[in-house]
Amino acid sequence: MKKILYSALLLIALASVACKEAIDLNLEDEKYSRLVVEGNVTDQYTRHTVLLTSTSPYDQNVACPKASGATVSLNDGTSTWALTETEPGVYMTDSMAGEIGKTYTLSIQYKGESFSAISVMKPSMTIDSLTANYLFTADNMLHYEVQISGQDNPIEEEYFLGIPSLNGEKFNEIYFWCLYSDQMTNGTYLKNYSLGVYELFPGLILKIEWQSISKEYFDFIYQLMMNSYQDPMFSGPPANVKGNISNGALGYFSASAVTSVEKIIP
Amino acid sequence: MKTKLFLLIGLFLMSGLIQAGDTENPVKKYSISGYIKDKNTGEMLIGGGVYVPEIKSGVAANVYGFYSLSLPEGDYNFVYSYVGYASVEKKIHLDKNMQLDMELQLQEKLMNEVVISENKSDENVKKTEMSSVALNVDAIRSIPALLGETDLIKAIQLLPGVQTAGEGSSGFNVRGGSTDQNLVLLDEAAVYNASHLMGFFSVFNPDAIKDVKLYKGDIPSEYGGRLASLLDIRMKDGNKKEYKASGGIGTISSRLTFEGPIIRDKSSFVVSARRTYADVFLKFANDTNLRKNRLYFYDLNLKFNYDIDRKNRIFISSYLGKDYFRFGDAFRFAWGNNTETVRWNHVFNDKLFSNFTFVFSNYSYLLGSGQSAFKFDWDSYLRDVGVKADFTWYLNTKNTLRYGLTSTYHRFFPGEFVSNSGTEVKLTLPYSNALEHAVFIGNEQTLLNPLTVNYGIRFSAFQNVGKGTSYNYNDKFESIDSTTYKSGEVYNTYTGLEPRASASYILGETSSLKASYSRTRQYIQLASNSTVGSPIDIWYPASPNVKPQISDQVAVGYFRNFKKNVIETSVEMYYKNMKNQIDFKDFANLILNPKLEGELRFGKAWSYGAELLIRKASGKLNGWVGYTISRSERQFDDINNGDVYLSNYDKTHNVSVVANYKISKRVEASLCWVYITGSPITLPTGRFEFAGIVMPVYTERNGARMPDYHRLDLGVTLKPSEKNTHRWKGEWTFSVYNAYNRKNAYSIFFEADKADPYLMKSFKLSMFPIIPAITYNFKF
Repeated sequence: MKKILYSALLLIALASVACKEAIDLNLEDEKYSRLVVEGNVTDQYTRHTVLLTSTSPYDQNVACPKASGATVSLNDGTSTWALTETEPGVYMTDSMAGEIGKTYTLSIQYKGESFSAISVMKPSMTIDSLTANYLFTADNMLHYEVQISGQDNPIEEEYFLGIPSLNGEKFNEIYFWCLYSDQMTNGTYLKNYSLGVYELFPGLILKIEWQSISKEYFDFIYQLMMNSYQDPMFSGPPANVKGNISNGALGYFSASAVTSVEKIIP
Repeated sequence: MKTKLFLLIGLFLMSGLIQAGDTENPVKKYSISGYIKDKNTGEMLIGGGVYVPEIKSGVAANVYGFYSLSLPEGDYNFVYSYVGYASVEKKIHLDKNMQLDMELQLQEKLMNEVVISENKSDENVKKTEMSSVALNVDAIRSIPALLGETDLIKAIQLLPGVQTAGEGSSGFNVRGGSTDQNLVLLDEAAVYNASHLMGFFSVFNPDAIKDVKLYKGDIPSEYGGRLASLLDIRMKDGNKKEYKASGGIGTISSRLTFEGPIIRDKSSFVVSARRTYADVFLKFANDTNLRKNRLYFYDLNLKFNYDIDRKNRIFISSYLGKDYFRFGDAFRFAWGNNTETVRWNHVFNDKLFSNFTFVFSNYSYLLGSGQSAFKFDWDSYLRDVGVKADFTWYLNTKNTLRYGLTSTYHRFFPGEFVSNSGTEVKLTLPYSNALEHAVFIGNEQTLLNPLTVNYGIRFSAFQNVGKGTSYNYNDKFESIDSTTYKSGEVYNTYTGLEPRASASYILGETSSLKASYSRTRQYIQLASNSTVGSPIDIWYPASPNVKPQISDQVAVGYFRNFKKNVIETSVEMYYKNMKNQIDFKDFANLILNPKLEGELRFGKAWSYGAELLIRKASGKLNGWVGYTISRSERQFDDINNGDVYLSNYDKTHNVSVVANYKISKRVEASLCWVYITGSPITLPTGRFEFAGIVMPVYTERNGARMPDYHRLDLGVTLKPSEKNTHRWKGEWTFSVYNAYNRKNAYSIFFEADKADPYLMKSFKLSMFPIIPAITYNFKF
């Protein structure tokens, strides 16, 4: 919403005059490298993944180094699962399903330091249907508005993350993700609730994975989106995105319950 | 303790005042009072001077052109003067109370050639007033402007001690204050958003304005409510002698002003309108959809005045301005100010002048969309209704007292958002109410001839009034519960004293030393997360969670005039300490957030600097050179790890050169050059990857700077021939903004390369390239 508004405002202001050009900056480098965690456990029976990398100087234009050789484990209060490194920086559980209501603790030992994160698996939400309505064509791309319908739980302050996939291929980049909070809609039936406009094509299978998340993860994703969408006029001062990993590491570990809904694009 | 000290000093000075009265009692005294006006238009001349050489003293007319002097019986020369006007000397035998209105004539109308030297007042040296600059609208008009649109605020931004909030912005920062710490008054009514078109233009139509004065410190005790500055803008009263029309056709807007007497010499009106055809901007856009849309702003100023009799005058002024954008059905956005002022001047006797004011001010905006996917409506407003009574008591030649009281009712409506695209989403933020009161008294007193002091005190109070909901927060700024208050219930009150004092010590005929101290308190502020401000920013009041902002400023200055007061120079140094300052937490959500107060963080700020001004207000070559060296810093426990960081508007060096040269009777050339140290910015030091994107890691807020900013603007004005005896007089102005096409950085940002997402490229966005413009102005 805000994004649309701001883009519109910016467009008006800059339509005719502004000019963008490359500039050379002498960026200072961060003194220390920090561990970065991207981890997820769900109520689906599958192998859950934790990615470990470390930070690098901002102007070093290559992938961040993988953090290999860490000891990673997951605990739900009763059982503990050890994760195995399947390829450098990628740590996986054996196939298992998380349980709603349980508190998951991720523990990492890396280069002599310990890191941990805690996340509670919140209840999922039932999605009845998915619709995709053709809006317009621009630059030879067909634009569709994607909407969902479903009953919001009576529980207050619930947060959900929608991750789309096309023909089984997940959109991994957060630009395509959508966030939903029930602050204004608690307990109501969401009828054709808009998730945004996507570039789609008839015949493709669109799937939305609807994950229950914590407020903190909601804020984290929101902040990632804000940071990747810095606009000069309306964004506040740039700031670090705050995750839930202890001991100065960056990133997030989230536990979520998942419901999915599918639709063939008309 | 402090309060006691102020009271003691006050008592001491007051006793001096009474004594002064006593010792002069044996000699019978008479007063001479009246109005100082323009001979051709009947407009009152704000700050016009009356000087009496026999007593080496005088008085300046107040904002309504009224003056009064009390002297023992005798023969005197009264010298009436005003900048740019020919002085008039009048010999008078004063043996009774007299009323004398003086009409002065514009110097250029008087003589048929360009004036090279003139009798100029030395008021800037003699008066205690410091840290203030008055700009006359004609001087502002001669500065080359963006797209030829003469702009008061852009002219103000060229003064030392004032920083621009961002290129093309109508926001300004005074001596390390934020943009919402400026009180902008249009005929006594607060203007809450002075920007048109994202700030590229300000809302003040120069054709409707008579006088502009900026106080950067040493704000008179009559005014308060903002920490940093007062920008006092007075509208024209309207020509009392004859009907006149003037206007202009510019590159983006057209203006038309009509003024004249309703009853000659007794009553007059002025109507002034301006509207852009900025929609033409869109014609340049590449997108065909864009071209069909609406984009304009307009301003409408109305003023009426009526001299009922010598003792009573009435003024009614009104301003209405609006910006409107519309993209077909997809999006509409409008915002604007409306101010109304009704004033009644009453002269109780020759020594006591009073003014009663009623003000109304409203700022509102609305956004909406009719497109099915994002159908929504959203509106918000802030409304003020206020009354004020102020008195000027010309006690004797040594003391002029100003006192009065004021009360304002504020209503804040932060917003309502209704969206209906399938599921209705509605969010209404309840409105809140507040009362702001103040009583004030000030005296300008000549102690011993070289030393003049001006001291005053303002007692202000702020009350939150129900119906309202106040959230309570824990020390992590999370709301724990809320308290609801009944309609009319006063649930929170803040009060405080604001002492103000200044002194000038005259060192010789042409130079003086001045010093001032002022405390200011601010109870309402703007929630804005951007440096330049946006129309949807909302004002919010002090409350149980938000303490009033307090500023203490001391300043010292040396003032010296050269060449018979034609060249004025001054150096001022200031130090300002600000308490209860407000900043916002990282990723703060400031719009449509009922728990806005939870996003606020509190800390302190301070600023210091030195300002140099060399100004030549008249002559063939006129203009000024300003230089500011300054620093402004902040410290918040919850921001930047508690470490001190630079304010967004900390710009170490700021140079401005404004010059206007009369090449011949018909041709004038003007120049404006600015050089400003780059604004502080926060740049990333490290990166991490998450969900397929590269994210920056920052270490220090505002730890780097943008490239320095500099820009040259040029203008040429062709005036009509003097042989032209037609009533219609037209003139052409050609201007070039950013003449050497410097690509100043407006912002710096990073984007991932499309082919290689790991390659982060840095870019600068620059706003205005070289922009030529033509304006045609006319009068008839």
